[in-house]
Amino acid sequence: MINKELFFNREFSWIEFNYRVLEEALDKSTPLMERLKFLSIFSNNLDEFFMVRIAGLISQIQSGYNAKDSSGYTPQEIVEGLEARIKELVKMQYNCYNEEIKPRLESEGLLIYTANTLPEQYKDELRELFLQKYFLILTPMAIDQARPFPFLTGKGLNLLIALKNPESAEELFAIIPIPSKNRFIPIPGSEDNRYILIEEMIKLFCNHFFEGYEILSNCTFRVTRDAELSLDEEYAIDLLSAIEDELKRRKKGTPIRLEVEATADEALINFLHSKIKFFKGFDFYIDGPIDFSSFTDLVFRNGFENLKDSPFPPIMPVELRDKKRSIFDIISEKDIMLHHPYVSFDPVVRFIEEASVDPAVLAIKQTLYRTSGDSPIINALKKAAERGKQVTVLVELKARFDEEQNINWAKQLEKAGCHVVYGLVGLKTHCKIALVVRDEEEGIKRYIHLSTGNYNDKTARVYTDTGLFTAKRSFGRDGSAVFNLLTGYSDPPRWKKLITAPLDMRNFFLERIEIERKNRKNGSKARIIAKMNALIDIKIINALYEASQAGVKIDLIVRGMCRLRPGIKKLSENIRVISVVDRFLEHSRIFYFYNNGNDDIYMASADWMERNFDKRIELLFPIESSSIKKEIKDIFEIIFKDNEKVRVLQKEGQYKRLSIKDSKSYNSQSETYKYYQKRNSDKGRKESHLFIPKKKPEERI
Amino acid sequence: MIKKISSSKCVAAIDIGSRSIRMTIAQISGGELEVLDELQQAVRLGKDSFYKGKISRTTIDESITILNRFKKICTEYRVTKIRAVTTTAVREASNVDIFVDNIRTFTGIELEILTPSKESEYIYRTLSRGLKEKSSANEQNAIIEVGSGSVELTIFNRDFIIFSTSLPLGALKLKQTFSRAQNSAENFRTYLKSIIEHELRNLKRTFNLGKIKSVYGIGSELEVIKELINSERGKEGASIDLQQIKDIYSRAKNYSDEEIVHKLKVSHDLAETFYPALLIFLQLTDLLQAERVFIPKMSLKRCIIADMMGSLNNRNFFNKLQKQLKQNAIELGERFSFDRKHAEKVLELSIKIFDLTRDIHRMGNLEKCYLVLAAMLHDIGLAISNSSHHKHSQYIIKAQEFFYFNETQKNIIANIARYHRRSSPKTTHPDYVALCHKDRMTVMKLASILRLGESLDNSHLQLVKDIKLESHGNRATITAMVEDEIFAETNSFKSKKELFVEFFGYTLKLKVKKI
Repeated sequence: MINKELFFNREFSWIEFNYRVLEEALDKSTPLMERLKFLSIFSNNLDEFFMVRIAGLISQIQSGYNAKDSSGYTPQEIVEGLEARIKELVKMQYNCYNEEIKPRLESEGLLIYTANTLPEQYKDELRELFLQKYFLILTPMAIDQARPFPFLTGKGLNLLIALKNPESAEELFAIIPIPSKNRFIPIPGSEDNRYILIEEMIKLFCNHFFEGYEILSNCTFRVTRDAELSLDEEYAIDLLSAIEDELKRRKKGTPIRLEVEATADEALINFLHSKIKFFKGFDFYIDGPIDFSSFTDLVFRNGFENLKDSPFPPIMPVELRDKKRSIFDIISEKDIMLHHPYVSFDPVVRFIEEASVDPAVLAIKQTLYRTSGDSPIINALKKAAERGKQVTVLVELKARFDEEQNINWAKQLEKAGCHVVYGLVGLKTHCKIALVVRDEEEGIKRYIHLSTGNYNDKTARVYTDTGLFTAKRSFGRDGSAVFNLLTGYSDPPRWKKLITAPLDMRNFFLERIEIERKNRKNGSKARIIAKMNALIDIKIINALYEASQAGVKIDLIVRGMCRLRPGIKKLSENIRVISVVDRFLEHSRIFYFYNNGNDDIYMASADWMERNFDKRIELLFPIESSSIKKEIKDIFEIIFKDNEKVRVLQKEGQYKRLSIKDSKSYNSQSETYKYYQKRNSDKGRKESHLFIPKKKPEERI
Repeated sequence: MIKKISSSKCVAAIDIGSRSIRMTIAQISGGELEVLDELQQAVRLGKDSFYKGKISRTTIDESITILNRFKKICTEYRVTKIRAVTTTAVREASNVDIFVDNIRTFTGIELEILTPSKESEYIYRTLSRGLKEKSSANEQNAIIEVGSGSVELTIFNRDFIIFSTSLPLGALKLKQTFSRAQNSAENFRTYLKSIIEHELRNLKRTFNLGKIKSVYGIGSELEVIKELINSERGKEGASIDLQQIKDIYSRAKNYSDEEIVHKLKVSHDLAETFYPALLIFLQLTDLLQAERVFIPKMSLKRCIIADMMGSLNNRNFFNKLQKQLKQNAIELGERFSFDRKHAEKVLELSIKIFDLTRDIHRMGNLEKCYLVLAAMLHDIGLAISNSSHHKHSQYIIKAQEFFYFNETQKNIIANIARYHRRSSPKTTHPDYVALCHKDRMTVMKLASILRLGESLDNSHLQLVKDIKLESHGNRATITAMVEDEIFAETNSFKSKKELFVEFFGYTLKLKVKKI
């Protein structure tokens, strides 16, 4: 069998994931504002894909690398395939916006004008605004023999203007970079919800910059650049400043894609083609506003609530409702799982905040990969350090696209007196763990929070992630050891509970899969359920194929890329792969193995990808509480019942939605929310209290 | 509700070993010892010491960095006591003093250099405390600690250590000694075999090995073996089948270091010493003809922690130690054909005087243990020559290894033995002035007691059966219970009491009473 038959290509698989995102925008049953949101997410995803993955493929092609990947494609073939599919999808995206979303927004009273459509009556007041507020901050750059084509940052929008000197008849070009913030400008003197995009406003009044010149034509355009950082960490004496330098260089990465407004005339297009060396084929002519990513600004404004999803306000778990009790006492009683965003992220913030002021707390340690703008967690960590607690923070400076922000955090935390470390050479610290050391009456006691998602209170409202609070000694030991490893204070220990990458996580999974295979071979029941964001790792996929061939029933819930081909006779016929794309971004990584009835459940910060297993510090933690195990199994059941947002991966690589004709529609995210509502209602609480097993002495902490 | 915040009860033990510096932080929680954190960082102390004879500047600096990091962790747990010990690698380096001083200056940690016997003793005490099944009194067991710098062999019975020795067979050290010669791996094996056989022949000469019931193997390589065996048989067993170790040995024998890493899943830092360590262990277990082999989870740090927590210092400790020291002294004395009966009588009488005069001398159990050895061995120098035999006793004692005692303490004991006769301590005696003031006074006091005890068996005939002591103000009377007349003893007492009289300011009389 050749490789194409064994493995899907990861880039093609990724494009299909982004198509599923687009599908949500195309879906007429999605509320209008949410459709706009999905258009924006689609754009944003695609931008990053160009900056990283396509940029990588292109540099392979340019360096003459032409070997086939494990799915049998050369970089050239992949890029060609991507070009065709992306063009198709972008066309669908703009059709959707122009034909459906824009007209419907207008009929709902939300108008976005362009330079051409803005009614005359508003122009004077808008001109006033422009001259007062924008004229001075914009920097037009003329291009002629003396002034070369300026450097344009990646992702930034620009206005290109063709000018003519009426006296000399000389023609020249000028560029105005468009500010990236506050793209939607409310029109002065008009009703609410009338906007003009900033670039359209500049188009209207740019003549003020070029007095004495005639404006021939103009168009907006954007360049997307290679955004990979190239760092030689081993020789970087100061990683922080090395990354700062690299970030400056990144802005100057090779151009990959050129997007130009479709209305641009030939002269403008020819000029851009002559000046920007984008990769052949990656020029896009956009029928509408370039770059939808900022359109989420509109979605998150107040108003039009009827055009948005009905809100799912995060639920506070009953056990954590009593604010007067110490969260540490609560965690001491039993392990608690938090399933965001259904369940509130506030307890995680409270965990760190309480620790920062609790006199019994000696030390707080935590990893930070991505966090929010005004992060309450960072503030709490600073406060703790200022109060003389030992605070160790591992800031990952190489978290892609968050590098600048993280450098900023690192400096702030250091200033407040935290011990800030950047992790280990060559490995990104992707694990999410927080540890609090308390000096209690009975001695030192540790409290741990482990999670599949970031310490980011903002994304925790959109990403589905699972976190665990525990005060078990063995977890505490391992937790301390994780930080001793990350700070370089100790070589790896023998772990008690946690499994780590890059040390042994892949092997752990391979062993677990092998146990299921053997059990099935011996005639016992065997089952694997795994939920993750991406399934790429070839060794794992091969192990899953072998397990399938032995008859193990395998359900994979893979939101994004998946290289495994399901449903192939004599290879993977017992494997089913589904993907859920809905209002919340599926992000939790949960793994279930039947293991002869033991129902082993694990959660992890890692996907089944080479980069997670080999290039990152990742953590996997077992779930030991029987009530949490039950909860996870319930959640899996809910996902399996979904017939609305679930897509099933076909053996040829397409994803198919289920037809709901005969049955009632069932949406797993809504049902999960209801599940937690019920569980945390007074009634649900009583029910769940009926069957609590008595703790064995060794379970007590 | 605000919980009462306790003062921390955490302690830390640091072991500066040949390959790495390790730290264990522990607390007592619910009556049990709970290990909170264990850290280790590799450092080339052994390689430096065994190769170049001294610890390099880079290694010293690395050690300082590591220790300062460890100290930072200690503050996070509010550790109250840190004890740092080191063994062969540092002990044998020519610049040991510089190393110790650098560590003290730049980290504030006072490094304690353990003698091999002290190390064995810690291991023995921790191990014996953990042994579940009680053995019969005359059953003998052994601990073989395969280290990188030396191999410690300890033979013990139900109550105490009978014999302990340090064999210069450290796997890393041997490898490095040999690496200076340009020879092939095959030659190394021949060399290794011959040197092990040589050491074992010496061992057989110095100690009469009896039947050994159980051998407890300790060492990193052995722990790897245990894991290999457990994973092969799929479960953890109590004892290890010697044959299984032999099987692994015969496989490892033909492997290169790389193969040992890949085929046996031994970590890189242990690969080079894996084969020698195994060979040494197997040769020793063969020699001991042990019935069973155990590889307990044991580390020096854990022993130190247990010691710091006081869990080893049970009430019987000094009683046991005295018994053990007496036994060691007998082993040693018999090699020198000493007068055992006399030694035991002097011991009995001296200890009695010691106990009866506690109010006068105010010394404690540790000093009593010095007295045990000094009393038992005071005449051992007779094996060399009758003339000045007290001086011969002194250097013989100094040349021995005793459990629990370091070099200074050994010197104290040797001095006490020396001053059992003739000249009293003088500042012109080099070994005496080598001691600090307090230790000199200990020598003085114990020698004065030993002189009394020795004088009461001056005839070597054990005529004094018992003694009593009465004191009024600064007058004391010793009553000797005898069956017959004594002459030599009363005569000797007159002159030998002088040191005691002078030191404590007591007048001392001897009464003889027939029973």
